Amino acid sequence: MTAKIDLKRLLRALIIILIVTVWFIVVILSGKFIDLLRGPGLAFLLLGGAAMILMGFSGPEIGAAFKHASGSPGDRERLQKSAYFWETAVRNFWMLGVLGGIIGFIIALCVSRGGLGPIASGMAESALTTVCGMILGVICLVPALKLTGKLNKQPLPEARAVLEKPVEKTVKALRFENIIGYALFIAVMGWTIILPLVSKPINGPLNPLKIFFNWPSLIVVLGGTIALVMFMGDASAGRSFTLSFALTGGIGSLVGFVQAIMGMSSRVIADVASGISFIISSCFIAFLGMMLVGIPLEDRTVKTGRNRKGLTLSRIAWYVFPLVTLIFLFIVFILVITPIKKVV
Amino acid sequence: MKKENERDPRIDELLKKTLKDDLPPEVESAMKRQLNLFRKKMEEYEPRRKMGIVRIFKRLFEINGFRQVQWIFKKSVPVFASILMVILGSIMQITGSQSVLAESISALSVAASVSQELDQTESMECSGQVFAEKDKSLQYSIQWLSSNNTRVLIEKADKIPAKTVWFTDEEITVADHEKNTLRKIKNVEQIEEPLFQHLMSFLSPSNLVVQMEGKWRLKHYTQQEDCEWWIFTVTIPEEEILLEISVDLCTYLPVDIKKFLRDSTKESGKGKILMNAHFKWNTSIPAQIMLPKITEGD
Repeated sequence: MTAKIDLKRLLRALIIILIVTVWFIVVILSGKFIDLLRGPGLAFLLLGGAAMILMGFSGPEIGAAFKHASGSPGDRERLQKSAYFWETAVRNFWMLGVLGGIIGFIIALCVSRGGLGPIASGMAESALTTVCGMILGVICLVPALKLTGKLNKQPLPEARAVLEKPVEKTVKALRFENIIGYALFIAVMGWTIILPLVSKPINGPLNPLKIFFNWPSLIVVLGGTIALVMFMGDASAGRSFTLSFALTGGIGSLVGFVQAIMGMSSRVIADVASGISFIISSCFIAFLGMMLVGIPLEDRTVKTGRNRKGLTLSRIAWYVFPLVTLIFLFIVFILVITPIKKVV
Repeated sequence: MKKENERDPRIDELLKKTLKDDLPPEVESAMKRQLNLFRKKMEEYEPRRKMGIVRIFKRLFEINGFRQVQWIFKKSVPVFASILMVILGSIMQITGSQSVLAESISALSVAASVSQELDQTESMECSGQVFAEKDKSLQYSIQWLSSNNTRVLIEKADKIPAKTVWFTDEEITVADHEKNTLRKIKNVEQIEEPLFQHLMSFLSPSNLVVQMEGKWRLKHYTQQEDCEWWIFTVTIPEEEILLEISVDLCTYLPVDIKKFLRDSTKESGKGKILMNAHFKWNTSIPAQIMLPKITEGD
């Protein structure tokens, strides 16, 4: 009986995979969406997504999440973990999409030939990574919703179990998978940043460190984050890092925006450009900090049962900060193409 | 020790009487010892407070004091350092330390503005020289009207008119002043003037935009503070050519363009000058000179 059910489930999963594959082949062969399928952008998203999953989860947890998504039964705690896994996958693709957009935007600003056309096309290309990230996020949302629905249908734990103080498990030291995840993430970031700037030089290869890390914004974002983490406390849980990076990134962007607007009113191009670079760099550094420090720590803590209640604030940071960044990127594009004429 | 806290024999007597049977003698003696010790400490308290710096140093090296210092280093110093970082970063930003990204954005912003302004011009006059060996250099002047009419006058070194070329939407007409002929041609290669190719990029504002967006690669720029000009240096990598474009920040239109051969041995990269062009924008151009015909003035 069990073997029969397993065979049925396997067949159903195979049919779904087949339908999705055929759909992708048809889309590619139609040639209409070929511009959306940018190899480097897609590779950045997939490898970055894998790295972020590995940073926060262990091999067995990843395996269980895939099993539960394909319909395998499980107890409440395990299903909860798997639902959280898929939620983090949605978040990772969304954030990686926006981060890819920022990187593409910076590269477009540095290697564009001049004129409105090349700038616009460079920026549109960078937005494609964000679109792909959103699509992948929506795909991961399906198992997340499915598992949450399953959890809601399950009977609630007995009153005694609720009344008993839950045993807080300690956060284990870094596993081998986590270290691989960190290494992969750093490698993917390095590859994405260095390769386009070296292969598309204007006047000799550009220095990625000088372009991506604007010193004032780096100092402000790091300083602000350290101060906030010290005040919030519980740095090992990761939540304070996530919130602090998002807050300081947002404040940095606002400061840059104010400077750019002031530059517009005084008609000084250098001030406008300086403000714009501060906006972009603040967002980029805040994203890197959130994804490299805050989020993996938080993922590892949430699985132990700690910090679950504080997830609402973190969720706001995960989803609202990238949205704010996208709005700022749009404003930056408008600022770049707006002529600032000197008054005679 | 304060006066009110001094020993009162009556109270002592009362205590003795009251507690007479309650406490065993060994407990009473122990209590007395404790009380004496307490009194001694209280008496010592006043002079110890007056120790000042010595006491502070002593306290500092007591175990509890060391913990306080440790706390200061653990909490306050990082907080202070982080706030200092925020202030330092803000000052660096306000004082205007330009980053590579900001410089690139400035240049791109000006280039985008130039391309937008070029699209909106109504007329263009461009004059200059194309340099060549010996007496083969030529002078030229280009007049362009928004109706897509272009007239190019080519003169020899001694200012003798050589050719006039009219570009209209439909055709190209060439007036050869040396042979005194007027003929229509199908493409630019038939003009029979080898140096004419240098002028092709400047025949109309849209040609300039095409070059800017497709061929020219920004190398660097400098801002001339005194005259509100920006000088862009762009390269054409496939042709080993370097262009210096001066842009007026009041109009965002090019004022001068100089074309050089690229010389990698020089720091500026500028080799032999190939041509120069001076632009005047939105001036009135007499309509009659835009009609293809041989006139004496030509």
